[in-house]
Amino acid sequence: MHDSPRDRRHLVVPLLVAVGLLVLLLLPLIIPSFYLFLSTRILVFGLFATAFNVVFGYAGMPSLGHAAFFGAGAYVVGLASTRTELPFPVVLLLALLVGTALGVVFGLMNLRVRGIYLLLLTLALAQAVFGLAFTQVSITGGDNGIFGIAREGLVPVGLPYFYWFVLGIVGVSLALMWQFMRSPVGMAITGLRESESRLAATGYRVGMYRVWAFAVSGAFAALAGMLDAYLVGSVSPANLAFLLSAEVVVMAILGGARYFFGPFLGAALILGLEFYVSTFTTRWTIVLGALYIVTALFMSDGVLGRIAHWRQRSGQRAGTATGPGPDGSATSSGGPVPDGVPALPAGAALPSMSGSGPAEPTPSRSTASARTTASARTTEPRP
Amino acid sequence: MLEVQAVDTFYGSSQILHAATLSVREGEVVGLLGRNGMGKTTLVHTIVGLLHPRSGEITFDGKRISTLPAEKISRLGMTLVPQGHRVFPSLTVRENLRIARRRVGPGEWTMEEVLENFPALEQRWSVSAGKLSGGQQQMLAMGRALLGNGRIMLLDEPTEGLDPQTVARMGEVIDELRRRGTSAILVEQKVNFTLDRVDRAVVLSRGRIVHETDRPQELKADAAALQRLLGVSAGHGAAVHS
Repeated sequence: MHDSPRDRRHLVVPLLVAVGLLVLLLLPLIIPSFYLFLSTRILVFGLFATAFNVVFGYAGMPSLGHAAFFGAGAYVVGLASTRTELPFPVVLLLALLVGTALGVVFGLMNLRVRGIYLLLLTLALAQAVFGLAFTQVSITGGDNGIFGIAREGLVPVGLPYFYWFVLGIVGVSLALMWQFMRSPVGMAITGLRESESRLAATGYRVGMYRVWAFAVSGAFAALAGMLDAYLVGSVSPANLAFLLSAEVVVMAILGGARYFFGPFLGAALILGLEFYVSTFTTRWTIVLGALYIVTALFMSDGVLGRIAHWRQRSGQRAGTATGPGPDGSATSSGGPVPDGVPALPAGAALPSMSGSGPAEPTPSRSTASARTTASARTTEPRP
Repeated sequence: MLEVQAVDTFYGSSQILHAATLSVREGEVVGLLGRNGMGKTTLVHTIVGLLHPRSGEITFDGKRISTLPAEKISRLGMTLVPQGHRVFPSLTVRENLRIARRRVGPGEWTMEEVLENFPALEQRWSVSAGKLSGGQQQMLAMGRALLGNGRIMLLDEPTEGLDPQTVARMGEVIDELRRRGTSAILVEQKVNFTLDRVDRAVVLSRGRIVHETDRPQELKADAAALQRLLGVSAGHGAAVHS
């Protein structure tokens, strides 16, 4: 008996994930310490970009103020580790609380604005936080920031241990965000992006879910900021600056804001390219600027969106499309969609949140519906 | 149960509804007929709170709702099947149904019942709603409204653009709503489909209620009235044209 392509894929995907996890775990034993530093930064910024995408990609709210959350988390570590002797779990909790509280403030302040005004208001709020850090010299160190943030006591001395520590926290955070986006609250947040009025007509308090999105996003962005402060050993107003807010937007768009792992991929690409280009020229920011322009002009779906598009086209050429729907009608996305390829619904410009996890079983029933076979179901894995 | 009293609704400076008055009693299904652009969807949106009237009053179970936001009105027990198969396209069928589900008591719709009525949804259970055909999206929109288990359902052209088989299925579900005693306002272009299954029919023209009858079958048989009010001739499958 031969395995079908679907069966083979069901085996290949977990295998690839397992190999990927193993490589990530063994990385400190394989690569030099500088590359390990870069890898740790990618993990931290991958977490930041994924947290940002809760507001941007899922809730459909453009924000230019996310550096405020990242910087707030970093300053919590800076102040806690240089002025107090609080144990790490308390610092972690404080960073999460500060990020959440700031997220609630951002969410509440942004209840009445949409689109470009939301962009401006988030920018203004973040600039206010930046200004606070810049001017409160006695507390924050002003322009100099806070130095000497030590990792001692956190993990054994050595970057590999810190890398594993970050890998663990980022892994757990991503899993929590993944689950959150699949929860009823997460689904309602996605509903915000698709149609606020439709969500309201279903009985959901639209404003409350906007605040939820900012709160969750703020908490995990602050967590990323906290990890960055431990990694770099210092924190300064640059952690709160507008440039960082803009960079995380590009990370999300470049990787693919329609996909859960898109922003993480975008962070890896940008940080990797930043490192690679800077080894050749001191004018690497020009190259990055060009990349941002190309991304904005030609890659609005991001890398994962392009891959999905190519897979869809190659699937159509290979004639492996699912064909017409059960009622004999064509799909509304403009033609047959290859099995397992994320759809690009007409008009949808933001991420899909359907996960690649096992599909929730339908409730048992009798009669006609019982005739449905497993092969008739179409699952929709996402990268 | 639902009272719409002399409601005026505007889009900007354009007045769409002119003193529109309508009532729905407990367990009653009211058909709202009219040509395209006569204000049917505007009236529905005004009732569910997506638009707010400039004057007039809407009460639901004696409570004034004309100034309430849509989410509060929905939580009072009003569900909407929006025109044009509006669902959440990037959520899967399962997720679309799940976020619409409300508490279930005796006689209320369960997920199993919805899937029994629309088996195509089960077959596309894990597929993004945006990838469904128009008919399937309409079934999903209907399923979402049923799972909302409201006390009154507003169906805005639920059969628009559907094949005859799916139209028949929609009709069966509306009939089941009547049997269960759920009140409804059925906005439709299909005259016979509507008049065959409503307790009362109301005709809207240029934002005004111009005709109301609690004998829908008589209206169905009155070719002159149909021609005058809706521009259609009586007969099988008569539909309103713009």
